Amino acid sequence: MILKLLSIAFFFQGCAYVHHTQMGDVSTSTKFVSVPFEILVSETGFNIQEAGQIGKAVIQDRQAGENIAGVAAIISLFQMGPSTGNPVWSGDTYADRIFYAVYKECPSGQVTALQSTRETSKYPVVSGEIVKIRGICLKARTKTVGKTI
Amino acid sequence: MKLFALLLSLTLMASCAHVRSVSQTSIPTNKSKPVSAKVKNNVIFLFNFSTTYLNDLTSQLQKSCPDARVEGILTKDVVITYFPIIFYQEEITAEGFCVK
Repeated sequence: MILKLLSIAFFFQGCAYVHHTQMGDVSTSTKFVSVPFEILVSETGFNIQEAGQIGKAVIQDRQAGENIAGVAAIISLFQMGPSTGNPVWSGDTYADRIFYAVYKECPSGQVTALQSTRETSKYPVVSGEIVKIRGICLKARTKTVGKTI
Repeated sequence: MKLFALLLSLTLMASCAHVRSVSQTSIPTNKSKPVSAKVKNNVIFLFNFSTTYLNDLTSQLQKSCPDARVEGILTKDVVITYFPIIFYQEEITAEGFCVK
């Protein structure tokens, strides 16, 4: 009985496993509207075509280029471990374009509370060796003008 | 045989902790108000299906430092094994300084 249980336990041990987690500085200013976002990148689940389209749009827009540079600088502060989880066939480049994905979620480039997690897990969209980025995009408050009917 | 059983029991019952990862962001000059957040996850028989417990770190830090910034965050990811295979605990702490 115990042997069976242990066998099942070993079979399921890879279901969700955190290898590394890291928190960035957190801003809680009420001057901005906080919009949380989450990005999941796996060794198979990342859409390169989409990243290419974003990259193209960035090249055409100078301001966007500056914003994405800011996002890239924030992400560059994060360092993932050299060896985590299972080996992947696609090499170690599957997480290289994360900052494009962050830029897509937060075009203003004002990102705070960035939490990066390297995990082995399974989500509805992606599964396997995953890099999860959670953060908050700060957007400027806009004055609401009342409508007259 | 008794010695072997004793050694096996000691090995199985031995609890130990290891640090999985540590990270540190830039430390501010004003360190007068330290804040911290902690999340835990208990794993029994290696069964673990979710990592959503990590999501509470941000909200805990936000609550402890309203309308300001938390800087110099030290994130520590520790695994404490109480009984090998049977039970271990993942503990993630984030400590920083609230800067107005």
